[in-house]
Amino acid sequence: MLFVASFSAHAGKQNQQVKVADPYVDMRTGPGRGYPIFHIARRGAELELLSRRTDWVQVRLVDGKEGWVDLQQMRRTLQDDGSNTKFNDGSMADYVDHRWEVGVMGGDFGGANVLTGYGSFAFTPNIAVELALSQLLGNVSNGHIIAVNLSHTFFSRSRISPFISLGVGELVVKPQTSLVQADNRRYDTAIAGLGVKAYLTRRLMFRAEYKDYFVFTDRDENEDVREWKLGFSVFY
Amino acid sequence: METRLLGILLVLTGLLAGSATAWGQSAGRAADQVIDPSVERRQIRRADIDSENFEIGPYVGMLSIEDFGVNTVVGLKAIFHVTEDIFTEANIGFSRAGNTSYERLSGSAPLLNGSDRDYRYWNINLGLNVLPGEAFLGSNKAFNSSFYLIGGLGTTEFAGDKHFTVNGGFGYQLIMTDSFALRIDVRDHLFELDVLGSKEVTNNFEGTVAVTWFF
Repeated sequence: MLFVASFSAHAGKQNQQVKVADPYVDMRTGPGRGYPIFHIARRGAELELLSRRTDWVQVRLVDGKEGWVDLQQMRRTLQDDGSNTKFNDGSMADYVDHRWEVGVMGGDFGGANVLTGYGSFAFTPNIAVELALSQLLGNVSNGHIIAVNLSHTFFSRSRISPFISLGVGELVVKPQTSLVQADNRRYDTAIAGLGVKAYLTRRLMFRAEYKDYFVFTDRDENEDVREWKLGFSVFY
Repeated sequence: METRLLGILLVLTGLLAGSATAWGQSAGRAADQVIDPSVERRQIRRADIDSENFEIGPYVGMLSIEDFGVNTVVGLKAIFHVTEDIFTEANIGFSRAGNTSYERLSGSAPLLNGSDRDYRYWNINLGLNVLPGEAFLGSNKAFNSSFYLIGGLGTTEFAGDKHFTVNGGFGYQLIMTDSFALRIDVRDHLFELDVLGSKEVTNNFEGTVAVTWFF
C-alpha cells in the first residue's frame, strides 16, 4: 500500500520545463561531446528536464524526442519566471564556500607505504576538523593510524591555498607474519603538518601534505616519523 | 502692536501644524515602503533535476594470482563521475588462491594454509575516458560507449599479510539503457610477496565484467 502510494506520488511528479532562449540548442545522442548531434531545439521550444550526467542534461521535447544538451547551453535557457535556469554544480565559488571534504591520499610514512582516507568539516572558511584513517604497509610490519586533526587554511579564497595542521592519533604496528609472531603495539602520537590544497575542476581538488609524527614510546626516547602524501578529494 | 503679535503667533501655529502634517505623511510613506518594496526581490532557483553522477555494481571475472593459478574473482565497484572525462572509482574484490605448480608436483606440505589462501583487495582509482563513442548492434540499436584508462592505489590481503598494491589498466564501458551500463575491465595488480623464498614484485592480471547502475 505504501509502495503504491509512493509510486503514484513519484509518477505524478512533474518534471521542470524550461524554454530555449538561444537561436537553437544542439541535442546529442549521449552525455558527451563525442556523441553525434541528431536534432536541434529552436528558440521558444519547451524542454522537459529528465536527468543530468556530469555536464550534460537529458531533455525531452514536446514531440517526445529525447537528447542530451550541454550544460553551457542549458544555462541560457529560461525558467517560467523569465530568469536563466540555474544548476547545482561544483565551481570555484562552491570550492571557496565548501564545508565537507572527502579524499584519499597515498605516500610514504618513514619508509613504509601509506594509504589514507579522510573526511573533514570546515567551521569557517579557514578552520576545519578532520578525521583520517591511514593504513601502513612496510617491509617488516604493517599498521594503521587513526588521527584527528585541526587545520588552518591560509588564502582560502584562492585557487591554491596552503594549510597547517595539528592533531593527535593512535598508531598500531603489527609485525608481518612471515617474520616472528608478535603482538600488535599501540602508541599515542602527536602530529604537526603542513600542506597545500588546489582546486582542479567541478568538485575535485588536489591535496599534498607533509606531516611530522611524534610517537610516544615506553622507551627512553620518543620517535619522530616523517610522512608525505599526495591525493585528491571531492568537496560539498 | 497686539494684532502684529497675534499675526506672528497664528503664522507660527500654522507652520507647526503644517510641518506636523507633512511629517505624518512622510512617516506614512516610509511605512508603506517597508511593507511594499518597489523592487521585486529576485528568487534564485536551481533546476529541480536528478543528477546521476554515481554508478555502483557487482563484478565477476578471473584473477591470475602469480604462481597460484587463475581463480574466480567477485567484487563490488562504485564510481563517481567528476566530469565527462574524469571519474574516480573504488573497488573491493575477493578471490581464493589455488595451488602452485610446486605444491602439486612435489606433493610436499602446502605453502599456505586455510584463510591464508584468501585473496582480498580494495583500491581507489582515477579514470580517464579517452575514446567516447557509440557502438552499433545491427542497424537499429546504438549504445553509447567509452574506452578508458585507469590506475590507482590500494591494499591486498593475501598470504596472511597486507600488501601495498598499485593497479592499472584499461576498460570499456557500454551504456545499455539510461540506468544500466556494462563495464569490461583489464587490470594488473602489482605488489611485493615473499611466500616463495625471496621478496619479489608479483603481477596479478585480472579480467572482469561488471553491471552497474547509475543513480
